[in-house]
Amino acid sequence: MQRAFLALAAAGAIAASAQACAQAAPAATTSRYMATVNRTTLYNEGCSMGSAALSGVVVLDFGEPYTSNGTQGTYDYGSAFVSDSSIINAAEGFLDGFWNCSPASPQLRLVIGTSNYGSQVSNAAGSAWGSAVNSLNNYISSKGYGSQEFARGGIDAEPGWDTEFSRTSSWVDGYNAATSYPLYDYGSADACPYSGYSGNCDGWGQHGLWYISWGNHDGYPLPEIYQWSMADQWYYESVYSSTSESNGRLGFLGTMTQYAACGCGSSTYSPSQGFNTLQNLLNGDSRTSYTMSYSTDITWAN
Amino acid sequence: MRKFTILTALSLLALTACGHGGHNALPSSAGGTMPDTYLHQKMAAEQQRVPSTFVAPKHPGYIAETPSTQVWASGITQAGEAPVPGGMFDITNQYNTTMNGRHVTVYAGSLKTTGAGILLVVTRSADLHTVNAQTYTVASGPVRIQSAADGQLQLQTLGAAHQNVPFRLPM
Repeated sequence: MQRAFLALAAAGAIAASAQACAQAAPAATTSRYMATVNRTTLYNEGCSMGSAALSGVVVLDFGEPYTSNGTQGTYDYGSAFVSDSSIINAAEGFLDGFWNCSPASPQLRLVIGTSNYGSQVSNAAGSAWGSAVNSLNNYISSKGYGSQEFARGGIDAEPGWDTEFSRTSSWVDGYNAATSYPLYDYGSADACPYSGYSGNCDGWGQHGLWYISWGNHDGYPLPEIYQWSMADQWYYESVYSSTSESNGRLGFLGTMTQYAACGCGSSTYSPSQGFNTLQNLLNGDSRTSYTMSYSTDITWAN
Repeated sequence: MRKFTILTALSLLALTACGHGGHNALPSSAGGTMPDTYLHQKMAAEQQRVPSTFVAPKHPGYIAETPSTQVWASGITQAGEAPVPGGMFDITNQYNTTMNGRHVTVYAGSLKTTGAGILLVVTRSADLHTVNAQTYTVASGPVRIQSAADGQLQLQTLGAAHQNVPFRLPM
């Protein structure tokens, strides 16, 4: 009897421990590659998320920075120039929709995202993006949405798109100068080190990637994790930050996957696979352990 | 005491199993980890929200959408970020058109892993709610879109010997 109890207790302890280490991935939200700035379309997208009572991070990715006739904006995935003011207007629609259709508890972090792709990534573009985030937070305040909604900036920063690094860092500095609201880096760690691979992050070095994702005042990593090597690259980046920079391990907010967009089947991680892979890598090392909060999956549908 | 020891050992065993253990060439941790003060302060700052002076009423419901008046781009353009990770594709140029009431964008370039020439064809319904995407390997090296008409693309390889490759959009 005593032996049976002992065995049961031991099994229980193992199960509890295993459960503790296999933390369930949070429900994934839907982020989008944007091909429109239609306010009604975005209102309904926000309403859809609110109706599902989902909390979390949503990235609306409006594409690369672009300037037309002196007006700051982006070149979106409908191959059209859209001004920052039209992006703000569209994002306000999403905030309205989420507010109206959600119950009282879900929390939305709405990220307006751009990238470091192209020749017009600049300090001025970063500054304008920071101002746009300020505008959205002012909108949240004026409309009385503050108990449930946050507006954030985002950048899909990929080393391979700016191997000289200077345009990207200048953009980030411009953002920081314009706002103190967080900047989510939902980019990649292209050509950065991971197990069995020594890379220099396409010229950025791990220090450069650290600065863009975490070292700058507003920066927080929300990395793309589409396969194991990408998770391992970010794990290594956190080891680097923990051992070589002055502010310790990376505070990952969560992960972004592209399961809905890619349609690649098993060749790309599902949201829970992406989240759990990075989470397990981080928690397997005392230098990097950190509990992430968010999972989002990006789609091309608007 | 013995029971406790066995239980503790088994628990530790289970916890150890959480580790990944595949990193033999990690950066040295000789300097130890930095205090987590910065981490805690920064994550607290992430919670920054606007002051909520009042709480707005809610009016649940979707808004009926009117047909989009958005003018879809058309023609060949040299630049443009594709909605794919930069680590996967090098995009050379793109082509936009509307066919059978659907918006079509074709990105031409190459796969970074193999260098093979590829086309990424993204088709969107007019309301942008439904999207289909497909990649096609069309050459052994990078390609660009040279011309396009009536769903027929003329591609050109970017190698030393420019070769023309026809491609019909699968509509």
